[in-house]
Amino acid sequence: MLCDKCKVNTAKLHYTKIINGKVEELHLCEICAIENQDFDMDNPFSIHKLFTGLFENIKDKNEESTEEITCSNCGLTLSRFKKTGKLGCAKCYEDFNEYLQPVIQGIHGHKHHIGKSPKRLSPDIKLQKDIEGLSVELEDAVKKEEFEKAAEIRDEIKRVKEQLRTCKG
Amino acid sequence: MESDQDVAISTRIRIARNLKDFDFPLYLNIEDADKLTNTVLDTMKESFDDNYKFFRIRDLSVKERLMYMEEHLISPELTRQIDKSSFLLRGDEKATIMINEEDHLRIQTLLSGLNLDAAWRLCSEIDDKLESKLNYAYDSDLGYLTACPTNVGTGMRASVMLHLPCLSIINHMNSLTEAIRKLGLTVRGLYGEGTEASGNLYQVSNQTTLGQTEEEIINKLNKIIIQIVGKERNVRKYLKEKKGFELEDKIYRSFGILKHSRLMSSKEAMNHLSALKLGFDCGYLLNDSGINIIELMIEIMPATMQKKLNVDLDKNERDKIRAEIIRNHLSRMEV
Repeated sequence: MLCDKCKVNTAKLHYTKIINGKVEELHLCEICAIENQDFDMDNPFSIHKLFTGLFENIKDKNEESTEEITCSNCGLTLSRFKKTGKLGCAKCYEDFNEYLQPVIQGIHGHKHHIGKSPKRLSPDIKLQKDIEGLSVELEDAVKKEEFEKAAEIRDEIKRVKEQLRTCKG
Repeated sequence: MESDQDVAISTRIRIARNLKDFDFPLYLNIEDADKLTNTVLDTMKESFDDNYKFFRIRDLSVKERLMYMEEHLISPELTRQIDKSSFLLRGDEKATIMINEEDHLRIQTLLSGLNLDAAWRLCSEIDDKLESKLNYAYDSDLGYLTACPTNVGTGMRASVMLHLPCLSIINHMNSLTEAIRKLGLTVRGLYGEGTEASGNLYQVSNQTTLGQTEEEIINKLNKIIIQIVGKERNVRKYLKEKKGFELEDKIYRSFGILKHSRLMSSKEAMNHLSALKLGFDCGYLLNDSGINIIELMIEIMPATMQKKLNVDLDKNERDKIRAEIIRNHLSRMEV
């Protein structure tokens, strides 16, 4: 059975809604099902709705031009993303960067990641991340007036910075 | 039962990871989804000594899928893309690696009690082993890239399940929920987003994933959980002192209903079991046959019940058997 909405993909999710004895059926593929979460009675209040709502105010800078912004790797369009709230691939983050940045800042209140990073990352990025992580720890130690610990962290930052300089050569 | 499990029932941490060279699961075709799954399985074989069992969602019956969900071992989202999704479950059921959920990988650890540090350590260890062979999608600015920007950064959601019957009795849950939200955390029902809090069980978790280290997120959550646990315990003490008779009456009524009912819906059962647990934890009732209420709550969920008995049941039959299971568990309990 084909999806009732896009009429391209196979329908995987089947919904039946009965209101005042009137039966309404809907058969959707996974992607359209996400766009259509209103029908999903199990999920009366979804973070998805709130989240995609964030995009409604994003003005498309190229609004006058008919050209859609598309991910150069997976081909996902920005308008599709605004509907599903789900990106297509890692490259989408780069290609939609201009639009995503304010949204990400809006959700998290931050722009930069300072937590864990893959160990196999190129060494200079890893060191840079270490410095950022240590700086947070330093701030924390100072706030708590643990000055001995703070001094240790400061020395560690110095050491890592030195390492970074040699690494960049 | 351990002493801290009077309020903090269990701790769950999950992290979202994606592989650089594949589209995110929603847009992945079945062929590539299988390829990705095999890549992950190969890595598991090379890097893991622990005993993991592999399940494809499409090979499981609907009941089996629901059972794993009711036990919190997999997420509801994992069962939405039937043809693409699978999971690996560690022998002791403390860790699950979900493949092709909303993200390529969702690594989840589930421990009893309030145990955030240990749950994070275990989760991070599994992550390290996978990362030693797999190319993760990672950006030096944004961190781990996820299908939904709400998870970008650490990709981590840490949550603790709490039993809060007395804060519910004095109607403090709404104001507590609001206060917690203001601190950047969120409160949900038993089965996550949008679900009702049945049996006075709530999950408290972090809301945002970017701009704080995993340890900072966990420390903050931990501090707040400890406060909530303390509040619940204080209210229990207060009610016991000031309204002891009413509290005792409520607990014994629930005990009576559980012990003698012939039909019981899961909602009703959850509420009375919650009162029974409170009765044990406050010392009104003696749990000499060592009933684990939380396990019993899962045992009487629709799918788990039917899977264990290996039968299909309509609602009425389920309510009958549920009442029977509960009666059997309580049969040796005397007042």
